[in-house]
Amino acid sequence: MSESGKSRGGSEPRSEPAPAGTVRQSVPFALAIVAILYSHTISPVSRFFGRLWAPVGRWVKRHHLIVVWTIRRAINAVAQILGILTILYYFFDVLAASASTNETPLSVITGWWTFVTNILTGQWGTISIAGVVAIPTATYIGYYLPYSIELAALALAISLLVAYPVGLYSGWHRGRVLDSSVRGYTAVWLFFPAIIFSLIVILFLYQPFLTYSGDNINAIFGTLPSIGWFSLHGGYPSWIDPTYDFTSPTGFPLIDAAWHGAWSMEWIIFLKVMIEALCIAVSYVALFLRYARNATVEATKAEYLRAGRARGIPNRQLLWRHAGRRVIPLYIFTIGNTFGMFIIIQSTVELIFNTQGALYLLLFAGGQSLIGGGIQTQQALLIVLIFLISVVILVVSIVAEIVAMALDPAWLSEKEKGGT
Amino acid sequence: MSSPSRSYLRRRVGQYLHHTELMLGTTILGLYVLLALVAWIYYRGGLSSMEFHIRVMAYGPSPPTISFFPFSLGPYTLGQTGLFGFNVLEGLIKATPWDLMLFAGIIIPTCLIGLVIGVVAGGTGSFVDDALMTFTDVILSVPPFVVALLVFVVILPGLPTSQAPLLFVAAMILINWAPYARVVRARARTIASKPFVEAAAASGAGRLRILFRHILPNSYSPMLSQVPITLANLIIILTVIPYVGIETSQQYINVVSFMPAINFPEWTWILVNGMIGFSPIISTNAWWAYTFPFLCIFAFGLGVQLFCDGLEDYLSPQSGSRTH
Repeated sequence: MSESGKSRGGSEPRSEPAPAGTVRQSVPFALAIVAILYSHTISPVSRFFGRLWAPVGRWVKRHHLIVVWTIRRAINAVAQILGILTILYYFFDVLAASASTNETPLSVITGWWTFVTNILTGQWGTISIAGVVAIPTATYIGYYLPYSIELAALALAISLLVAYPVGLYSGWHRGRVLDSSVRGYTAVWLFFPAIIFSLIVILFLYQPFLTYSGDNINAIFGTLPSIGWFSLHGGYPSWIDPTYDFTSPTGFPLIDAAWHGAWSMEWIIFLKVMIEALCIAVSYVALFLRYARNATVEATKAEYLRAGRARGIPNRQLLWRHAGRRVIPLYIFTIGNTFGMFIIIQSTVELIFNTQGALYLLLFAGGQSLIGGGIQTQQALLIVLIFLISVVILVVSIVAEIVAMALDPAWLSEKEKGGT
Repeated sequence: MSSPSRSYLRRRVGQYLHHTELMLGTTILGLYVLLALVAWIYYRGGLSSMEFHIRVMAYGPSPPTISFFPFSLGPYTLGQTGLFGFNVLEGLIKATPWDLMLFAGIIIPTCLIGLVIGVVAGGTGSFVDDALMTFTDVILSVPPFVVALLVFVVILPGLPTSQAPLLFVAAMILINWAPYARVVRARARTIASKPFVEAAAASGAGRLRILFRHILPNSYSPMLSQVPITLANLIIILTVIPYVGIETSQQYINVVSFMPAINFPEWTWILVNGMIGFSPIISTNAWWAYTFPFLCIFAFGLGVQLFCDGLEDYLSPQSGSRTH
């Protein structure tokens, strides 16, 4: 005790010279004092934790507005998720159950509680395919989800690669040729639905594309090559599950084909995904620029840009370095704002191109439930898919908002004042 | 006495007439209203049904029968659609009054609900603001498309088909007001901190009077830029969902669209018929069956967009000096 006391410097001697009768009473106080001194001043442990947490504390002190905003958004998100679940419960358990009077329904509160806890704890039930095979819903969706994620990532990347420079340049040079053509494009393409555009792409690019890619035997689009192509090139490889087209290590066909070194297949998959991504991007860029252009114009009117011009900073540098940096949070916010529309566009494109994606699955399940004995057959699938899509939209919008605010704190105070 | 106001009116009307965007939009929408009136007068008896020929599945749709030398219209002036064999021109004209009613019946109540909720939230602040905006966020996180799919799949099969359009309108009103409430609330919050509102409160105006006489008239214009997006969403929903119903089931089903009958004239329903006709699986290359319905919808959307953007610009305070 005394040895360790020496090693702890001045902390231990305070507890040592206590009288014998009061030792038992003073032990907890002494321990508390030791603990406080130990953690605050001397020990290597406290130094380590101090190093670890001090930047966090400083960050919180500096960005307390964002932290408060994040907490508020998180509380809101809980309310939103419960709201989504209530809407789903109303549609599937109240309305659909009242249509089929076979089961005696639970009382509303018990039923709602069961529904919500089942969804939130991941008890998503099973799906019977053709009335025989029962697969857990999560596993089944897992077969389809990578296709959608891959397509969405490519489409978003292409859209932003186009929208960022075009939007910035047209906002900078207001009224020039590029600006007016961008305005015309956003006006025209808003009412050119992706479904019609992708149908037209299939109509006019179908044969040339198939001939070019070498996948021209009984091909309907999709993502993987057709069965005819496989039969010419040595059959289905062992790493593709023939029932659900699930590619083996990761599930993302672009990655897996490269993983196994199937480069001819990789090329076909890449071409197919690129065509779909371009169809999505053509529609989404128009929508995105409609939201983002006015914000860009406002951002490029900032005082410091005028000051920079007066100091003789070259115009190009002002545009791409100064205004371009200021516009980034606005664009991130716009992604969150328009992500719901992006998902609608992608689901129509997946439907037209027969992609094995989750959004295609949503529409297909919706269509199937119309013919196969009412809603009950595909109920679990529809509920889980809709819930997942809504949660993804929610999370993307919240994360985009918070990232945008972290990048541009002045904007947050504007928002607190009541700007958009 | 009346000369200042008359000159003000004359100036505003002059601005309206010289506003290219607004005038173009007004003209296009006016032509559509005129077309609706013509249809209402011309097809007085049978405005709610088109004639259809299932036979077209076997023989293929008729191409446009219009000829210019010598000029004659023929029975199928703009051709025939693939699936049910609707007459494209007749269908589009008959559909005009229904579609104008449908879109106006959805968008105007949506705007009103969003306006009231946004003004109350932004003008009141504090607890009411937080509660209303949380509710708005809940509605915002569910895409209208998903709600339409749910209504189509869950409710519609159990209802008499005559109630389908009303149900669609109600569902779309209930789900679409949220973005309007958001933009109006943002504007109302900035307006509420303006000096003239404080002056009104200081001179003894009541809370409701401040909300609806002072804040509301100044905060509805940003709503207009949202209208074309809602319209585009509605058109996507009305096009995609019947397409899903037909394509995935691959057989005749009793619920095919939100309309009361399969031969009910509606622009997007005619468009879906045209698209089914030329999908690569059933490849009959009937370009007329999707081109003309698409152009009809597209021109209407463009008109609405020009009208709304122009009106927003016209109503904004610095109306004379446009920013772009």
